[in-house]
Amino acid sequence: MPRPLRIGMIGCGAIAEQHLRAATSLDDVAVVGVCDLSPVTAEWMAERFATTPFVRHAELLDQGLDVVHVLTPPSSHVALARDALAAGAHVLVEKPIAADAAEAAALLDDAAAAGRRVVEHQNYRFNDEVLAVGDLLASGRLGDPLELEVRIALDVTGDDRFANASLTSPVAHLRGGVIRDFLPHMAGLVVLLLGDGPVEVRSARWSNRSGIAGLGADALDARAETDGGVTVGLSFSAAAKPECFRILLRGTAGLVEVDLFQPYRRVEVARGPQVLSPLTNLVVNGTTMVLDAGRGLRSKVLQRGTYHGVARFLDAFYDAVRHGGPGPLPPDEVLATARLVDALAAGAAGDPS
Amino acid sequence: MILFVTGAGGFLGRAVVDAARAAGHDVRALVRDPARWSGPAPDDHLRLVAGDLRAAGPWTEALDGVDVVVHLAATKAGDLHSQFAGTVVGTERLLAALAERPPTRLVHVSTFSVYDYDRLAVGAVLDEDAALVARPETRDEYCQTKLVQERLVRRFAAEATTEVVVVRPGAVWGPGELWDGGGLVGLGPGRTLVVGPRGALKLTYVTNCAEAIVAAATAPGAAGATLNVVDDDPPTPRRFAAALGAAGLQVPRGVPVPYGLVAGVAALLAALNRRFAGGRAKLPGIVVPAKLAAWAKPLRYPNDRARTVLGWRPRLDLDAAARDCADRSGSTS
Repeated sequence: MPRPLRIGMIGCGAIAEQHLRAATSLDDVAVVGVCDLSPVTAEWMAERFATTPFVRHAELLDQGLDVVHVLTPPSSHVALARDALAAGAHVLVEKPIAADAAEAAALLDDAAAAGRRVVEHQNYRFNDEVLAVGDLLASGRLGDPLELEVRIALDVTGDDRFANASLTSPVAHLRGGVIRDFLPHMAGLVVLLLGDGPVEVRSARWSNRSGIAGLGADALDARAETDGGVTVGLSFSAAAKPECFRILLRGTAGLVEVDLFQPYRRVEVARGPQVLSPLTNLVVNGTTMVLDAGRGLRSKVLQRGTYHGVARFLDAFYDAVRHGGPGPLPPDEVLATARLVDALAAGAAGDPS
Repeated sequence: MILFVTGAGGFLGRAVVDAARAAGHDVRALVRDPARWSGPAPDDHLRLVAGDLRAAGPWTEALDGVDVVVHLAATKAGDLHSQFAGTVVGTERLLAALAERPPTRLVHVSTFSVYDYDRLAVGAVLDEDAALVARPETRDEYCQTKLVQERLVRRFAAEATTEVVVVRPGAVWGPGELWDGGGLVGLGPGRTLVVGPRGALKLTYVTNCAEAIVAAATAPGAAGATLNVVDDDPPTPRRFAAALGAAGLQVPRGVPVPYGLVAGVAALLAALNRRFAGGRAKLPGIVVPAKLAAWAKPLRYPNDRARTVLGWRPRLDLDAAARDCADRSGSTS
């Protein structure tokens, strides 16, 4: 039996819950400890996931860890990742990995010099629906990609961390405000599906429609184009209903549309005789949607939610740590994601420092 | 005395501020946004302190010279981590501030939700000696976070010089919070499911409850005590709805269903869940045994200890409370 991989997690907020659930579901993984500046938070999470609490991250890093997850607010990501590298660990950093692409590149260089891996956690890459889009594209049934649209509608206005004037908003100072937190996911999907080549942002309209200053921007409508001529639309809305995380990829031979929040798939491709294709597509997609509704209900009851890609991402990263290989996300794609985020955020209000 | 009240802008907090002033105390009321304060205008005896326990801020300086801290602030909505941050991390920060500026007494307002209803037989007495929840994961976020919060306060009590009183109110009702007249699940317009129609509701009228909390701030024998606060003669859902109706307050019509029937269905579903889904299936709370028991198991709720230790009497009986509630809701017909 292999020695269990020794894991430590810094930061015990809501996302740590997903990392801990995923890590503890995997074989040959030992979560050695969790760390939070709030002692009661570290203790509570440690109790629930049968591990050891730490308040000082240096003490956690002294435990001889193979992998450290950095799950703290973004401003501390790079410093903590460097400390973890210095302790000899591989590092998985929640998105955004760094404040900008230059900082991300420097961190990745440090990791390479130390012979360790640093990766940005982009869990949605491993959701069923995203994998299906990737498979369909790779199969050639969509032809060559022409347009990619990634649209998130999510009501973030009720989140007390942003709307409460007594609290320091964790994002108000960032270019792009609360949306900045979602950009790595959106940009990461562009990189995943269209490659890590240059993407030129043609326009990016940022606005705050809710009037809640702590959110920074809460709406984005951006258009971009890859060096291969594929047009890209990225949009975020805190006001639009129903909430969605939709990906639409249109190619020269067909299209696929999926949603990650209320999972469904719509695929329009050549099916059978050309004259019957539109009708066949309607029948096939109608049937698929009915089945997707059943699957959705089952997932809801069994609590298999939007975060189901986390365990796959972690598994792929841990596997690369043990055995080598590309891992879930190569450094070039981490950088390409950060560059696209920078380009999109360049037009947004906020203090980049 | 000077009382520092956290969560003063909330439903119970507002009533505690009123009760404290009525009892002749000076109040420093911690509120997130003073612009949204709907209580009496600040004066020499009432000072609004802007702040949030989750963040460091000048609110800690307002603890200088305080005799008693009444801690009501908690987050009751949102996911587990939001509630944990608001309820537990906020308390952690408050207790750290109290260690720097120790008051004579801390009145911690906990909840009936921390009790383990699953372990009590139908008809049993639930008093302060009842066991606390052993498996928090079977209960809702509010229970889970209030349990950790109370544990934190008890640890503080063991180490600090400050006296600690833990008050556990039942279901606090009043203007804007009528608990659907004892209904558990809405059944469409004007109808609600009443599970266990013959069981008592662990109710306390907001004014009565606030007066108990203020009494806990000063009662000499209360130090170190844990006190359940419910009103006298807890009513059945039908009696509660009738009192509200007689006062002109609108509540949905109750559709009664025996507790044993729903508990049986819940037990069956729990067994199926364990058998076929490894216990992972998330079902509505009404068919989750531990949650159902907490919400609707028919039990008896004495208030002897609070009456004895605090010298408190629920001033308004059910009918008087309903009339007071209607007057203050402006909806008397």
